[in-house]
Amino acid sequence: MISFDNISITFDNKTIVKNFSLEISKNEKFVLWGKSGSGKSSLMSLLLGFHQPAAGSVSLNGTEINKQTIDTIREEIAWVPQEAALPFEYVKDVIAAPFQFKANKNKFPKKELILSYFEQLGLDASLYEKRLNEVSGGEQQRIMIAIAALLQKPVLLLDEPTSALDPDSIESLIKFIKGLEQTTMLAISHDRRFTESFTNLELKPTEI
Amino acid sequence: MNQTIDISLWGFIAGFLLLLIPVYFLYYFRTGLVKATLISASRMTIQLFLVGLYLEYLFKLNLWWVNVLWVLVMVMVASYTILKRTKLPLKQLFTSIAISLLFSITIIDTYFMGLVVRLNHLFEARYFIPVSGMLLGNMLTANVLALNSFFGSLEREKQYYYYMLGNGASRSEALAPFIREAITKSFNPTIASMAVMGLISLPGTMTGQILGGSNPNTAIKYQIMLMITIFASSLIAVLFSMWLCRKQAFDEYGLKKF
Repeated sequence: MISFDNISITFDNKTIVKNFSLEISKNEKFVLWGKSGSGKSSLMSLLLGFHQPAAGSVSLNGTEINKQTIDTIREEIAWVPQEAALPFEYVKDVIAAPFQFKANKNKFPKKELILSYFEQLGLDASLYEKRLNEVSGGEQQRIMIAIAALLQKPVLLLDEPTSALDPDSIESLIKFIKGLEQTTMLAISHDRRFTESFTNLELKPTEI
Repeated sequence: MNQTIDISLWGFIAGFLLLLIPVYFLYYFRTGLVKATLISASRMTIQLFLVGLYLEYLFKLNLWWVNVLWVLVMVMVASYTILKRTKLPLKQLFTSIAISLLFSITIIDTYFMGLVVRLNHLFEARYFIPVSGMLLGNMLTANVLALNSFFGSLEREKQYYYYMLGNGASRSEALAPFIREAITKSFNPTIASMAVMGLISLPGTMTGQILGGSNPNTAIKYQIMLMITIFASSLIAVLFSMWLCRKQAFDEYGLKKF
């Protein structure tokens, strides 16, 4: 499903990942962990086409990611960035936003489904009508994860999904992700409990 | 209509003396603006006298190709100024901006001279040069506002842009909110000024024409037509230049190159 083949990544002539290969099979849930600067986020941004490898190739479902394929590849992905300052006033507007795109147009979920995802993630139903500035960091993080899941894409990318969560919320998140049977997940996390709940790999900094 | 009274040298000097009042207060409040004011006023005087000289010459000559050439020079200068003021890379974007200004001015000039004023010769210096100059001046302001807003908000809200791209938005869809904001910011002032025109402001063209001896009725008609022309030409230029800049400023992955 997701395949990193002999990847090297450089930033400003500095190699941060060298000869990295990884296969993530369909519907597998995979977590990359490791020290800051080991290249975890850079590997994820290769999948989104936000960075290009200096060597090697990345493919999704057998299709190599390049400038010709990136548009269709992005349509297959839902991504929750570590930080996302979104210019919306209400939670419901944030939820609706990605469903305006042509690629997601017919997927707008029923409110019951949204609220059921909220419940599974330990979020109160009243949050749906609230202003974004009335919502805590942890709640916002889980709302973004709920949106990504509602998009029902084959691939879910989560960048530090537990950074603002308490232990109980992390537990609900693990359960929620395990329930997404038709989704392949690649996450980056520093949280031990989250990491150990899924197939995982420690990424060590390249010493160059 | 009577011939306009020319301003004599003494009258001109008396006019300049009026500058002493603002200069005194700028000095008194230690604003540090005295030098800038004097330089700006001198530049304006010299530039406008030079414009007067060459316009007189161009009007006398009235050769269509000289007039067209002159407007082309104005397009180049306007394109350069837009990129300088927005601090965008000259080399990569100059052609895009120049093409969009040229495109807009060609359409609107032809329409205005041919269909509205119904000139026998489209490139008649007395109409073609000042009208083109006025349109270009307004296109310049609109483009500076729009491009500043577009690239500025894209930089500020980079995370939002990436979020959209990473969740299925096409490049056009991800850029749409920034284009919308740029158009709003750039055209709100013009829309607001159109609404109060004549009530709290008497526009320059009209005042100039009336002072120049035109019938107020004719002056008003010109003013209305010019406001509409300015609005249309600026919008066409802004949309076209943002479209062309988009092609130059982003790579195949939708990422900003500079």
